[in-house]
Amino acid sequence: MLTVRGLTCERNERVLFRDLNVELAAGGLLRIRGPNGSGKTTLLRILCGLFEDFTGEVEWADDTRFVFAGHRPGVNGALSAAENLAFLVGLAGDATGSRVVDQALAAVGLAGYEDTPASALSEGQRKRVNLARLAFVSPRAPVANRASIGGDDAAGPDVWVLDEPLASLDADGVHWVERQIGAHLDAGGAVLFTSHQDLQGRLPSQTLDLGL
Amino acid sequence: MTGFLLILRRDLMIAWRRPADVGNAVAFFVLVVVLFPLGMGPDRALLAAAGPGVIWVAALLSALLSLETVLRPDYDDGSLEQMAVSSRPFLPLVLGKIVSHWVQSGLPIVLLCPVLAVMYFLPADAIGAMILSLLLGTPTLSLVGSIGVALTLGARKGGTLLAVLILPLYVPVLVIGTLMVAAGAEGASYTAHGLMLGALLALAIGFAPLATAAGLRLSIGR
Repeated sequence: MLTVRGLTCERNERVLFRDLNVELAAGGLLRIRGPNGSGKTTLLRILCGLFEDFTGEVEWADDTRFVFAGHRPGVNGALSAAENLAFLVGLAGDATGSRVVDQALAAVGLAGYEDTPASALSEGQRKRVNLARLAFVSPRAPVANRASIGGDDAAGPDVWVLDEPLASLDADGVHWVERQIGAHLDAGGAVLFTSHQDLQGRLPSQTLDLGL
Repeated sequence: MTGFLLILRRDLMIAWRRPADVGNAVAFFVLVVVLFPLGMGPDRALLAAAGPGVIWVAALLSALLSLETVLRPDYDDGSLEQMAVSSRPFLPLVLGKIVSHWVQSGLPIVLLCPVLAVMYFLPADAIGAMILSLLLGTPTLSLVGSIGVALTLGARKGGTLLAVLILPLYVPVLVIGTLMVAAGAEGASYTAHGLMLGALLALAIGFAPLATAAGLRLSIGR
């Protein structure tokens, strides 16, 4: 799904990584590790096309769709949790009814907060609104594996690119993200993530250590 | 729903919930235009001569004031990043942002100006010219201004930089717009001015969204 060849990136006259090669196939779980400032976020941003000051090749397989969850949740304070999620999902080009959005919010523990303005939500809750997109798993999944959301008409991206998905989440939230990642991989999706913690119950098929 | 409509609908919803954000700029326009005659005294000839310029300068500064409110919050909270990585084409999303700025800041000014123009003793012909000139000119202000915002998003206090960058590009619109209203006031034909404003608008529609999209990508990718 994703091939990276000879990726080298230099920032502020410091080489972050040199000649990096990555091959991510369906069902692959890639963890990127490294101390603060080692270039984990920069690497993810390069892969998503948000940062272009690098040499080397980044190649996504045709028709691969990805979702990117960065440090900033992309949640507007004036809109309600449901409106924010509907917008984020709509950006990906997926049509969603309000029922599906409410179900996804309920899945991340935000039932009852659908109409609350995001400015009244906590940092962790805003992060949950963003991560609720992970309730929509890969379209290739057999119906039984499509978590509990949406049924046939809910399709999500193939590759999840997650920057510190577990940061500022409580134990329940962490557990939910881990379960979703498992379901997504079983469904034939792939996940790239940076984290300082290990995922419970799921070992990365590859680990990339930066800044060594 | 297309990307353009998705953005437009969301932005107008945000503006509806938080009217103070963009309402500030419209209020600024109204205050300047209302206070000016009070300061100048009730001299009919003087006010009629100054009116077109005052209204156009106020419209221009008000556009400058409100430009950031449409893009800056999205940059800060990460929504802009999400738009850039989304599977939708970026350009219609950017165009949606620009149009939403005009609907929030330019359109109210166009609607308010006939009421305010009365304070300047402008003849009916001049008011027609004013509405038309603002209708053709304010979208150009939104389009061109968005390029400046896109480039200065990365700077924390980009306000002054934005003004320095954008005001020179606003000058042709200001000059032609003012002349158009003045021509209307004298009862002369203002077709030529209207055509020139239209040409500037056509030029801005062609180039500004592309430049803004490129500028936004630069600002995000840092």
